[in-house]
Amino acid sequence: MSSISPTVSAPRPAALAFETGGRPTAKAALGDLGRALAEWELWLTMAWQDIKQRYRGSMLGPFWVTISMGVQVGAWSIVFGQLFGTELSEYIPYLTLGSLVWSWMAAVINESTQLFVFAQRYVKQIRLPITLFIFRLLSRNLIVLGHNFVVYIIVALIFGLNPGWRGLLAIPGLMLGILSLFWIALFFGMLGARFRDFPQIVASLITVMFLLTPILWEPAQLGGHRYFVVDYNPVYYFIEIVREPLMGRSPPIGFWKVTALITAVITAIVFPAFRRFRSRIAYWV
Amino acid sequence: MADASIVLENINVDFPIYSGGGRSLKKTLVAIGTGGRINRGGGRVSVEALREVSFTLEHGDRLGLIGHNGAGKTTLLRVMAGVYEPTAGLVRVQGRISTIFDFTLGLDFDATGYENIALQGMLLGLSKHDIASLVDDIAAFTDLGGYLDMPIRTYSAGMLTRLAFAVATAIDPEILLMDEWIAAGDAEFFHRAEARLHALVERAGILVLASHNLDLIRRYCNKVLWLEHGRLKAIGEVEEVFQAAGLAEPPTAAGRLGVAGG
Repeated sequence: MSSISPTVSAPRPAALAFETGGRPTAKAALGDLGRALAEWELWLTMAWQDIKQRYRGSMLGPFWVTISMGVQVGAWSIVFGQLFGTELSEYIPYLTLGSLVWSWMAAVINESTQLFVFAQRYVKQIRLPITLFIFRLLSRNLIVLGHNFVVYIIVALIFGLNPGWRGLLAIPGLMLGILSLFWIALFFGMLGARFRDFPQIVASLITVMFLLTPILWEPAQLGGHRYFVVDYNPVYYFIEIVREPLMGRSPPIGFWKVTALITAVITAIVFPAFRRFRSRIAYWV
Repeated sequence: MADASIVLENINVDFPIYSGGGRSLKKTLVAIGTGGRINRGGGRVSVEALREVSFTLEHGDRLGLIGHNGAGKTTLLRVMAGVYEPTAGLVRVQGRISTIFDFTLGLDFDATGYENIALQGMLLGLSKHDIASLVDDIAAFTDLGGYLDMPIRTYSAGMLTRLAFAVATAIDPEILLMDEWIAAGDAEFFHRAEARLHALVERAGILVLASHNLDLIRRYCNKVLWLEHGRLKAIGEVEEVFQAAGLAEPPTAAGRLGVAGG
């Protein structure tokens, strides 16, 4: 029974050969990305495992998040719907969608700051691509978003909200969000590995951003000259390109331009940083 | 496929050591803002972990790494594994690498034995399909039977070792890097483990084993590399390097006495 195993030599393709050292190159950074994409089976499994680990033992499993999201939205609706005196059939779907998208983005960003520190045992032992951990983070949070989406469906059914074909515009909106979050998470992951006070700084900024972003309130309620809070708030645009289509409206074309531009700028900043510091992460954590 | 090989050319590795404000973004920004830089290099000191290390390993080489604690053995293994990219110099590795440094990596204690076999197998680079074809062998080797359907947090330390060990040794690496020989579980299991590990080592094209146990190195290696303070002091014939390192007492009968060089 302890016979020598009928081993397979199915290799992790990228582990067959490598060269390290020398100056950091864009090729090495792109190679990291390529290897990570090829390992989709691994990061998807890890993402599911993360979810299972979080909700193991609870009968509802991951749907527990769905319920807590539902409760949160319900509570907010009661208080703020009353405070603002807005039409609930309009306000509740608005609030639900804003919360869904916001909690997704906030979770990705919050978790990204300690990503490499938490993954240090992997980072120091196996030559896995660094971006694999970003894909794991993104897919884990997309799974959560998917569960939370049920709340939207229920709300839409209750209030007879049918976004129609326009709702599909939320998909490119989500894609832009994912793309931006990928680079932000990579950047914040590196900063968090290097600077140990970074996670706390980000966590407190996120709390502030929540209040400054139209989620509980609508821009029109600001009145007059305080529009800059919204106009210069990048998060607002990313929420809007997902929220508006699902409300059955088309976001203004300018919103697509702004989010695409922001994504391009983020990429242009983070990629060179990743190229430069990719190989240092193992030393930082 | 080309034969396995490892080439290291003038490898330097420096570890950044952050002290004081070096780990704080706030303090670093304040220091830059106030024209800092005077706070002793921003609280950044680096330690020379490896210096100008060069050597080549080819198919059939079984290299033992010796040196004091802190001499750079683990760092060197990690450079060969590709996890630490050198600060200077070049590393070229050909062949599928498997590392056995800490083989409990990636265990999920709330998942079952079978789930963990799959998880660990994937980490080692196996596809789901490969794992399916290996799972019976692994299960048989662990001898855990029905326990494999239970969460591994219910396992004893010995059972955990068996599980992780069985997966880590089920693969077929061309290059095997080990940090210390695994001392696996109870005596009864130990013999089976020894045989399996031996077979694994035999199959590997290249073995690199860092150990303080000279007899182990005598048994498994045909070359020895002696590191001191991150520098390669000698590489070559086992007994010659032992001699050079002043470790040349004859093999002990017991065979596994830890002899930390000196």
